[in-house]
Amino acid sequence: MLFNVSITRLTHIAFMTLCAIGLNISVTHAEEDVTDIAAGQINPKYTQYKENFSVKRLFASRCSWCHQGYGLKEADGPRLSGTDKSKEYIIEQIAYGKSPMPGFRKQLKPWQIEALADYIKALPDVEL
Amino acid sequence: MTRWTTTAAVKAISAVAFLGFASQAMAADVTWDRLLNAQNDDANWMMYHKDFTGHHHSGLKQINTRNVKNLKLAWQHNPAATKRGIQGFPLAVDGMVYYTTTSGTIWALNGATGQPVWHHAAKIDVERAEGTFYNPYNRGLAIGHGNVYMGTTDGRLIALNAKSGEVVWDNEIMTVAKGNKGFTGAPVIVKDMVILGANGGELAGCCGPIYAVDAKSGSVTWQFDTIGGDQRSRDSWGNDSWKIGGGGGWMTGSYDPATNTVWWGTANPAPDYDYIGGDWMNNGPRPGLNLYSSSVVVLDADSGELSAYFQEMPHDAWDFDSAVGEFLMVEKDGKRNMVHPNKGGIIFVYDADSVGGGNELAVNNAYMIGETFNYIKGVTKEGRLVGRRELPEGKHMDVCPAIDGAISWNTGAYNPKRNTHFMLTQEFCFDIEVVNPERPDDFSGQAYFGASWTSKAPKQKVDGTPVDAAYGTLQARDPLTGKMKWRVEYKYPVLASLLSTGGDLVFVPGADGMFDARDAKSGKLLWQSNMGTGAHGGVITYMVDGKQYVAVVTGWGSHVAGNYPGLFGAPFDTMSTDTGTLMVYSL
Repeated sequence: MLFNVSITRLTHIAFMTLCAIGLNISVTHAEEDVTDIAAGQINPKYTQYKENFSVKRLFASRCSWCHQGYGLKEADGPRLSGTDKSKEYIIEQIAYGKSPMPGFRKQLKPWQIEALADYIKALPDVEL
Repeated sequence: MTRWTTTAAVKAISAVAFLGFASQAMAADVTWDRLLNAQNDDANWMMYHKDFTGHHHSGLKQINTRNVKNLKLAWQHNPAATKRGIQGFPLAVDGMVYYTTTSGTIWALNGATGQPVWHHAAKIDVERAEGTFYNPYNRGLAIGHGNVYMGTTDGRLIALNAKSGEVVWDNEIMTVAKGNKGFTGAPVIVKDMVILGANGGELAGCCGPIYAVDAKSGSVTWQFDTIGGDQRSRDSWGNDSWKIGGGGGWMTGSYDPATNTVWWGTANPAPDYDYIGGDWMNNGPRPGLNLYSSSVVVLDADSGELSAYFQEMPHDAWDFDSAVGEFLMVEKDGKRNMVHPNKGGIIFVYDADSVGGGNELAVNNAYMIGETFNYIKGVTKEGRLVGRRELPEGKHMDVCPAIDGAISWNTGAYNPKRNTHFMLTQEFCFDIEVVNPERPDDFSGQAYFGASWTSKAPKQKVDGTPVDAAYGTLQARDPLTGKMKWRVEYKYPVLASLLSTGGDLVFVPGADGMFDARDAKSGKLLWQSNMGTGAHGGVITYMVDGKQYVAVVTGWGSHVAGNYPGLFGAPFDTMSTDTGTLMVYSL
């Protein structure tokens, strides 16, 4: 486990690091949203299926009831960031579920399930 | 004290069958006449809300303020299959106790000893049921006409012989064609019909039906679609968005014999949240008022036709629906009032006689009981929202209450002698990012949200008092005026139902597993017992052979409960979500 700290803390660490190495960079409340970074890595791969595809939009539409903070916070469902599960395992879990989690194989297209799995794997080990 | 494990209970069923049938042989059938007059029968608890006054009050007073300190565990029953705890209301009839656990299992027990008489585990279509995230829930049953009735998460209604547990009929009521929806709420019997509503809300699809099913045959007598069922409803959903609009009526409503009407609260529209913000009448995913979502509907009991309605949350932008099943009949000065709590923390007081013709109910009063809300500035006495805080696309911080509402789906209780309504609130908030959601296919039954969020503690109360942690309240009020009589703060918001008794007691099953008995007059804590795990189900009282019992279900785990580890840490970070027990207390 590399990190288990809040986003605010991460931003603070980044700021202090930049200062420490003497870079003359002005940081003005630059919130580093790790979910945006993860989504930015994933979205281009799936625009072949849907123009302007946003995996965070899909996540919010189908997953947010149980997985808070785009997967960064444990709630009714577990925190997803920092998972040690394989992409294949995650795809299986999304597709078939495991009570009380519903299976989404009849609701989502295979590429959408894969996109969600890629996004979850791209999330760093950060907790809200 | 008798303690029954599941294995032991199952093995014992045949052994105690004779005893059980002997007990049943003494029981009279639960006729419509008995149900209609249930408020005069305090020895029994024969329906979800005890009787059609909806008071959740029993006149039993053998256990009272003077002797409640001597209350002790009489017996308990540990069933199988309690994923996410037991959420139903037990029923007690003529010496028997019936209750449901998760995934559609009914237990029938001897009410004095806890000995199992029969049990039935419904064969759930797991693949279909688990298409929703409510799949293990079951919140109770109805009894009457010789049968016990239970809805299932795969859309069926089952009738079992009350004496033997044998299946009388088992009918699919909801078809998959209308989405992957089913039943989680307890049915209620009205005349020769069994009434129950489908879940829906944030599940895309149409049409959030409420059904009346013939108690003898299992065939559908009438169906009322909470969305898209009439032209007024369809006209209130721009771009035919009613076809994926959610709705439904997933908790147990009530019946008013004086007007022969069924009163039911309806669920929220889909998608949850609306990225269009303030222009919701003209644009966005569901332009318009979105009738009859987040409303109270009053239906003619014989035909199912709309007799009256009131939309408590016009174009619900917060998931503060009206599905709370509590309908409190309170008569004063010759006026009949129907009191209904809304998830947004509002108590609506309706004129119970302003029905007929399908028009809006008259509202005699409305008031807020939440303490930290900021999604509106308030409500008028006529029930109109003031100062809506719309949530357009983007991030919004410290929105209160969170999606879980200020009032959850369990019920309060009302002591008619003291004219005191006991209610619970939960005070926590969230940060939310609203998005333009992925639109599902029509009738798909897919989850349909328009946001991601994280729950958090409130920062202040409405009056500006700083707050540094989430909390809950137990409030005692005059239900018609809203005047506060006393208030108790709970560190952990209570999610279970309440019980009021003639012994001047109010029973409170706590989220942390502490079961409280308080003085109805003052709120003073008179007795407490550790049940071992949190509770978020029902609590009743009944009498067998002259002895009063108090029965409460335990077990933890749900969408709302899922917030607690993050909000409070211990004890919820280690609390099991796959256990539950029926606990029964007596002197």
